Amino acid sequence: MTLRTVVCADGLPERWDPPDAVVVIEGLCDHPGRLVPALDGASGVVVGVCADTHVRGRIQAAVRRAGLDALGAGLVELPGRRGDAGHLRAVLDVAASRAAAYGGSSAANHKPVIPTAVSRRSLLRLELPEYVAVPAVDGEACVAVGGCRACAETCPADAFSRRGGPMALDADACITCGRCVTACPTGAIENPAITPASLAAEVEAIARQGEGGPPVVLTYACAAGEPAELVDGSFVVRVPCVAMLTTTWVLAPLLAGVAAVRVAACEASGCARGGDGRAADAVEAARAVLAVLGLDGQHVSARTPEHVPAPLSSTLPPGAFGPRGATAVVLALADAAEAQDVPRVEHRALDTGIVTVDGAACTTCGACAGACPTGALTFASADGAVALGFAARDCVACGQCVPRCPELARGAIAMTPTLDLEALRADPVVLKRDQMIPCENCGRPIASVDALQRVGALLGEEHAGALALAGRFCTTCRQGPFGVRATAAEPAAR
Amino acid sequence: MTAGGWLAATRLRQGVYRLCGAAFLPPEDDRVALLASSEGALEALEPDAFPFAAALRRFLGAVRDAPPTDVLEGEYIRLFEAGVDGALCPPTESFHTTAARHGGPAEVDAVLESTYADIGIVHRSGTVVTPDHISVELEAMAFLCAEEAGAREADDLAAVADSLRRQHRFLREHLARWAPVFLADVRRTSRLEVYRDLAEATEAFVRHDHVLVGALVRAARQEVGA
Repeated sequence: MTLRTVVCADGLPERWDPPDAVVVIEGLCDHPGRLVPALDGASGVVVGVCADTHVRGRIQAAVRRAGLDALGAGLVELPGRRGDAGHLRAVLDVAASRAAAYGGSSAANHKPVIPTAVSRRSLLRLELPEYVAVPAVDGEACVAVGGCRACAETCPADAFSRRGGPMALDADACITCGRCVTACPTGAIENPAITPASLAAEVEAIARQGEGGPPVVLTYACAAGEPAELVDGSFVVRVPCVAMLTTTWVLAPLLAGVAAVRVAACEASGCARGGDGRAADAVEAARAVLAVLGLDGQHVSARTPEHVPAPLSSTLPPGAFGPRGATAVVLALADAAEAQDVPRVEHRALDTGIVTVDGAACTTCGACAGACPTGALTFASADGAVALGFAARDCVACGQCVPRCPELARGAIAMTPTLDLEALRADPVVLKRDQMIPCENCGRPIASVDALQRVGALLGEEHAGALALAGRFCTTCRQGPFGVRATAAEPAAR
Repeated sequence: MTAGGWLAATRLRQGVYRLCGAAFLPPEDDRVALLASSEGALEALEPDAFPFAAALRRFLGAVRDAPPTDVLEGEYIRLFEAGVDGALCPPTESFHTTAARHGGPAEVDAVLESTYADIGIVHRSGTVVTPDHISVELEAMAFLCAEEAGAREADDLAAVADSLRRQHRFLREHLARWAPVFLADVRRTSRLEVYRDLAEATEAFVRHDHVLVGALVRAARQEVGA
């Protein structure tokens, strides 16, 4: 990839000694068209613009004119004359790493943002729209057909709907908060502006800035909010909304070599995207994990840390920011902490979960396993026996298994967001075993023993005959040609 | 952006709707030549302000290099009329929005004809396409864009807001509701680059326009209290 970094000369610090790789253009923010020739032959771009400028839409248009994807252009606000030249160089380096990991966008990913009307009749004289990235659903990876509704349940704008196939996102209604991206248990919803790969690249680039120097603090901040107040050596990772942050996303940078993670929550501002304390929950859960592992709580905070602890690790596990990165992240943290005999910890914002089943209430129907988007719950049958299995390491605490259980009212299943290192390291366990009753006619399984007993209990004595029939023949063999039903004695003639 | 800038943007949208609408009609020599010659007009309207520009350019490039009209006709029939070799991409709203395929089209056509009457246009009976054909719906949007452009030229803020509302409603209730699914089918199924690129460009444009017009309607609401 040929990545080019172009900056506006008007926003540079006084003591700026431009690296050879950086192209400086006089008056770029006043004349965004000057960007086009500078991008000749480039396949990616980082653009440094003046902090008080409103030309992002025109910069994006120039990037498009150069034949590039404008959503992939990393825009960096320049600090102005009094800025720190060294820090700017590091910020541009980080932005370049993120831009290099950009994976491209589709037509469904572009959302125009019209500048707020500021004067009478401004509808006739609006600035060019700036484009932000909206997520799109990968129909192949979406498991809505299996019953998953994780995105719709978390979306504050009711932007998801479904007509038979995968979930569909209404880009017009979407407020680009990004909650669906981190809620999707299969990674089917992706926002090209912040993919697991681009975030990992950005975090690793930030961590590299601390090599041989003072420890690095990473601040997650809302892309739409005011710039977060920074501590020395702090780097800001802009996310669409801090409410999209998961506990894993808060903890993972610590494994890359970042010394402390700060979440600049803006939920008190009355923004439609936040306001329900999700970012604070993620911080609280992350601190609970640190505490149980015996690590310094100052590694994660909602405000400026009281002190910056030494980095824990310098290796980010593969897929750490992906939909199933939670297990790898907490196990790597436990290794870094050399933690022994770690007690279980429960918190509603944890991304690892433990599913439990009440053997007396569960009918071994397998609906929970069918709904499980990650395969943590399995339903296996062999030689007439059936087993409901659970692999804690694959559970992402999405809870999609729970509402699918037909015996939920009797408490047959529960999922608790839990950090249980022993379970995460262990092999899958069998939550319940049962026997399948085969059809006397064709041999195919009819139902589990417990399921038939439950049906019998619900039907009562007066329907004992029907139950006897249901317990001997499968639905196909019970009904012959022309809808002639079998009797309890014989299957229907085929 | 200046008033002229948004006027140009509206004219661009009008032009793209007309261009795509014409491209989904049966291919004829004159029509293909007209499409191929529209590149200059497109570039004059500075399409790079919008992310669908690249897809449009790819389509116009494919028109320039398109095979002879009889080859285009064959693919048109395969995709949109006969559904040969598993290619079943009826370019009509009713096919995509009515669960029961019998009786549905008439109802959709009736709703659309009423909508067209409200807009101020009439679908000519006896034409080769039905009121719910994608070309007709794209042409209806082109008409609404022309109306908006006229209001912008007259500096009539209320009329601009009114036109945007009608566009948004038409997109929400009709075109943007079904066209992306149909266009994705065409993209997957077409054997000719020109129809693949047409589908990609139209999908990019319609998706974008739905969101853009929605944002403009919200801006108009703040502006004129509409």
